[in-house]
Amino acid sequence: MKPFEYRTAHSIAEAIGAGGSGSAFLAAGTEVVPAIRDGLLQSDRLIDLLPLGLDRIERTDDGLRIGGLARLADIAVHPDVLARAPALASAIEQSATAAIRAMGTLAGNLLQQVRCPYYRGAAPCNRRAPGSGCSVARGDQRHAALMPLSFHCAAVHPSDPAVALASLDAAVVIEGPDGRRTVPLDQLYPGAGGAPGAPSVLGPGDLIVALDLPAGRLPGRYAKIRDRSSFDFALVSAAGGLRLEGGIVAEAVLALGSIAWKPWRARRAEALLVGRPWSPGLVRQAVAAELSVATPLEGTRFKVELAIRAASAVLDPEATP
Amino acid sequence: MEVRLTVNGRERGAEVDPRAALLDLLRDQFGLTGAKRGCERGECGACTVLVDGRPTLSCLTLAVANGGRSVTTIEGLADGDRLHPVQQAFIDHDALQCGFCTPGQILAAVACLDAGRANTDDEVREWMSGNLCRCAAYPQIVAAVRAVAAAR
Repeated sequence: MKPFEYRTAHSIAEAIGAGGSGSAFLAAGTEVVPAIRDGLLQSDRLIDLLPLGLDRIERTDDGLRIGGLARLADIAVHPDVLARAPALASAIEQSATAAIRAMGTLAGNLLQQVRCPYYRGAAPCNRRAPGSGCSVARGDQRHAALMPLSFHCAAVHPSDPAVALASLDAAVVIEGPDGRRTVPLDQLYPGAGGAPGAPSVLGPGDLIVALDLPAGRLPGRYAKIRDRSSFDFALVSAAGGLRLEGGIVAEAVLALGSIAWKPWRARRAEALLVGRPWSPGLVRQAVAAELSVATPLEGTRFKVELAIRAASAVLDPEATP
Repeated sequence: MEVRLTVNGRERGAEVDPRAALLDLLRDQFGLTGAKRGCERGECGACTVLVDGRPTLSCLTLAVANGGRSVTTIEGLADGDRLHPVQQAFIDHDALQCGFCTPGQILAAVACLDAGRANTDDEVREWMSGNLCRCAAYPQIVAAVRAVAAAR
């Protein structure tokens, strides 16, 4: 049997030093443990991060800081999160199941692997076996991207919290071999042309230590459309909100989920909304304009309408009094 | 590797393979077969236990990662001969048929009740959606959990 090592990290520096090639970070294990079993994790050494703590949720001078290892369930019921970032709390409570939310960490959720059915099978998949091809073109497209960022992979990023965090302008605080850096949430994922197997822009030894949520953002809501009403990944989701002044849109935020391998901050739609009198038709027009650059597959075309409906649910003035 | 943890109030130690799941340790080394091996990928809930009070899928956490933690399995839920109120409610409401999922259902229900999230039938359904019952005793399970919530 292949040798396999488990060790715990007791400081961030120790974790970073032990990370890197051949090693994988372990937090709750909900993602890593089945990956070991399925032979999808190449590493033969696990570095357990949970002894680091890094699970505090605290107010900062400029907003809220959530430790990377905070458990999803704890974040969703934290009073400061509920008050300032209800979209995040709602996105968490619509994710996975109570046990997985109780176990899973925020950083682990953001770094989860693809849920495309072909990734965990024997069919060609460029993420599992680079160069083998992507089975989506002639296969099941229901969960595929409306806005693929790469010719190599048509998968969507499956995280609900990531979509809410993108709408809240969250920043990812990363510590790694080169020190500390901060990356906007929607740039955590490799863009067009990125290596098809890489789930994020993190390098070997990089560790998400916290998420920073700046103050003064629209609290927003989260709407998730899925095949089952619980315990299912989104077909399309939306996070965001708006603020009206005398019926005119003064501020609008929208992020769309499960349409690409990253939460899709809909800046074009936001710009089209601001300064115009709010109406359901305006929201429809703005989201359609955002998605006009999409080149849907036959099996993903229906997601344009789903995205409009999910966005309409969060960009409703009744929802953000 | 050696791991030491508390299981149902008793401190225990064992030598485990670092790849072994907590479920393997409980069933194969400690003989606690209440937690069931169902899907082994976090999709069925049959292996649910409590770890430091949190509902935990024991197939998805490594045994070695639970050193120093306190695990409660179905075998440790009753108080001597007195069943836990959720166990009694499952009997009273006939909330099982074959019983395979029942230990996981009961521990998930305890966690749902402790979180204060058993206020409506829909809330119970959402909070226990990760615990599948192939005999489809769902209406009786919801009724049992709601009855305990009402009595609290």
